[in-house]
Amino acid sequence: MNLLAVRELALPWALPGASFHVGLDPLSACFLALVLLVCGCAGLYGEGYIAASHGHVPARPARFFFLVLSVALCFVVTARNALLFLAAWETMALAAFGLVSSEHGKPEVRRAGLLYLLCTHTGTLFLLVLFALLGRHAGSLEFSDFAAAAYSPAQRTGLVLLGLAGFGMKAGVLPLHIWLQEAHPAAPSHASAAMSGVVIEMGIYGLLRLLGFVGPLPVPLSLSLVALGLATALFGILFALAQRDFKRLLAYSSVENIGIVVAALGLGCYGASTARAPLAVLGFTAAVFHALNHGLFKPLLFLAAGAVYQATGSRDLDAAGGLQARMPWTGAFMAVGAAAICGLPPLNGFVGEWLIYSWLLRPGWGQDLRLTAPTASLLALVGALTVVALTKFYGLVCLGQPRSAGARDAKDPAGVMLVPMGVLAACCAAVGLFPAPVLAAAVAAGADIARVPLAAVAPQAEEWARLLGVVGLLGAGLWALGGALWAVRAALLRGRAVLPGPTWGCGFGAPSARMQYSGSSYSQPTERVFAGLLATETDFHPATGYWPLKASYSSRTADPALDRWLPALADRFSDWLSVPRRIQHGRLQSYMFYVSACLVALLLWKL
Amino acid sequence: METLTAAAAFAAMALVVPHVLLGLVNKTKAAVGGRRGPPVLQTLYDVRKLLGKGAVYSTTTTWMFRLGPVVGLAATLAAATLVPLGAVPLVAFEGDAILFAYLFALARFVTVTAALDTGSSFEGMGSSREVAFSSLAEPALILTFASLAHQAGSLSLGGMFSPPTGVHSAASTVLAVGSLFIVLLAENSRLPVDDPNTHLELTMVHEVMVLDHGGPDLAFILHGAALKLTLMAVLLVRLVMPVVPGLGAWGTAALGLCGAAVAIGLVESTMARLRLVHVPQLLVASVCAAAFGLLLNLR
Repeated sequence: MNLLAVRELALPWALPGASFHVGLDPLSACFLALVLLVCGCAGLYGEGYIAASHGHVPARPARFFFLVLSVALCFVVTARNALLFLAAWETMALAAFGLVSSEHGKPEVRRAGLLYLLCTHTGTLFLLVLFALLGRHAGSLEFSDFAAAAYSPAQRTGLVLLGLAGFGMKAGVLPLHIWLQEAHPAAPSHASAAMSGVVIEMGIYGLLRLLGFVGPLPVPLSLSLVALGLATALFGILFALAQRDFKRLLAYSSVENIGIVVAALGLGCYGASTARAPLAVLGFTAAVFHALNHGLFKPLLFLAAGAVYQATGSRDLDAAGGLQARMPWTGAFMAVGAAAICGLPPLNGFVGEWLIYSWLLRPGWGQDLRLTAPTASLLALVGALTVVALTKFYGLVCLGQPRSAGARDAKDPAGVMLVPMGVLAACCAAVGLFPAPVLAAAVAAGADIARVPLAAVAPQAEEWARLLGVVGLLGAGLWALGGALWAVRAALLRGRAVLPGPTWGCGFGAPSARMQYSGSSYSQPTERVFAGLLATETDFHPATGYWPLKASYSSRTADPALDRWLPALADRFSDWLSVPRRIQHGRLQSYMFYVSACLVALLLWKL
Repeated sequence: METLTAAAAFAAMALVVPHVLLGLVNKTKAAVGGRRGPPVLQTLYDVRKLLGKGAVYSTTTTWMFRLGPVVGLAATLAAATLVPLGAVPLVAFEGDAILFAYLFALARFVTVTAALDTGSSFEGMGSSREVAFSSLAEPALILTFASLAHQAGSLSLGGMFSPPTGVHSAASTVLAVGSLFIVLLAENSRLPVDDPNTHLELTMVHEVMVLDHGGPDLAFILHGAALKLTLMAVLLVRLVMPVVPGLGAWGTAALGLCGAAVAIGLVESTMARLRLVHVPQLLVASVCAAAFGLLLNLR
């Protein structure tokens, strides 16, 4: 049985232009598998999370919305008709809104939920226009007709820009990411996991689908996609490392990963624009692969973060600490997730990074050094900054001594919450060791998007599989080598004095947990280098005089898009709208007059 | 036979050469300072002594602290299989350069987490500096790799760092060498970024992260650090040294490594450590050097 064969099911639907048409091609299959895995894990975890929340997360609505979300996600990735897609998309968005607002007793949750609702509907508005235009051009609302139609370069540009606005809002592309860092901390953790792992990836799925419809883009647009992706990635990771709330940190890290995926996708578009099939397929393959990877390690981290939040009662990095000793399983899974997201071998993240770097650095496909070198070095910068942000996250949360009473008494959650984390962590390790099956699926999807027959890139695909096989083997070798050295160490220490002692305090005898390095101090040297981009506001009252009584320092890194650009834009907008607002004054008679005038005008026009 | 030679070369490079290299660096520093200096193999003796000891573990630490040195050394050894010492590396494939860079990132990740596991502010400080500096060294390394891969037509360390046929004075190579040398100094915590000899916790980067390690763990760390320095020095040597007639590949590599050790020793003897806030500037300079090298490649 060929798992990658195309399967379709079409049933009539009474709505004009609509049909209940679902299908499974390689791209859908990749994302459907991810949806099922992540929703399964997050749903199972959610049961434990709801039970352990002592009524803070209302059980029945949370279950209802989560199941609706899961089903809607399945339809989003399999829909083959624009109306079915939009219906599933909207159901997904509303169910996610329901989940985000689970704890609607808190004002900040209500604010985050509303922001999410506004953003997702703005995005849907663009999608409505996009599909209306596609439908008008193709003469039907079936995806197969969208793909069969021919588009002029101007149409392609317009459609992709619309798609970028609509799908990018969901995915969290700069500067449309504004809802992510608000909604993810507000949602219960299993919902954050599903949202970060699959809901925002639906934006990527939509973009890939759209690129499959319209065909090769003009070169400048492809390059702009690369630049946009890199800007998003750099922005996301810089803001991630400036955060104190660890779920916010993870949300910004999602922005970073989406940026990397968009950059890879842009590289694929560039390959397609310049009619180089291997580059096009490799770029799209890398995008799909990294999206799938992100769908594994980000839910894992959110689930672990949720367990920590429940155990300690705080999302503040500087209130956690010492949890590796108190929550050994959660800590271990978190360590795996953190290493995977940093792209470290032998885990899955490395495979995705390797594919992107191969596109950029491997000579012989005629890439332009002017594109590849800056992209590669920016990706390297982003990768290294990821290590800063994620060691900050894992190190502050799990290592050292507990910084609060909540952290001191923390315990591992119930098995029902640990098993899903274990499954996701095992997937991260397994994909790192055996990348071949996922690569085969991603290549098939990439070839579909690039509209290249799989046979045309078969030699290259075989070579990538072979090279990644070597990477997997070396990964296995690394595990073995680590195991062997561990055994050597154990053998050396056997029978010798292994004593407990205090941490070296530089001669100071009474260190306390509060003297540990804090999150802000950990990222300070890095933030200092990028101070111009972060624009952190500080409030510093130094100690003055001979007998200073009080000194304080606080810093806050506000999101520029949400806190600066959006208000400025909204002010400008409301100024413009004050003109038409004159006809909206609340007098019912006038409104009825408008309605009747409108009807008369329409009648006159049609008569 | 060839496999045997390769395995023997690998064993030598993985076990002894790193300590000889460090010994030569220390001898150079001693000579410039007018001292006799420790024996060439002193660091090897240190490692052997540490391997024979027990250990003291802080009660704050967990298995993460014990895992750090083990995984760090494993990652560095794995990276060593990719580096061509004399003729060919043990393992070579298109794209191994990326793996090489990421294996060092893995070593850094576990060293940093092991340091944070102690809950000591000193080690937090060291980790924080380490990750900050490497976030600027990484782009320089990848840019240099991009430039070399473009020149060599291959993304494998063996191809990218094949010895030049004559004395190479192409400006792009000079710039690549300069950039790599700065990365080497920064990544291996040498002067002017970090002073490997200092014993004041507040000023250190790498050494402060391993303050709490002892016994076999510290032996693993010291050996891993020496090996990392050697690997990067080997790459640098292969970039500049043509095969010296009469010496063969091995002799050339040995001679080149001695030269690299002397160069590092001279830098350490003649320069003071930079102020911490100026280290990023040095690293940005190395990125710029790599970028200029690349621009020359665009012709």
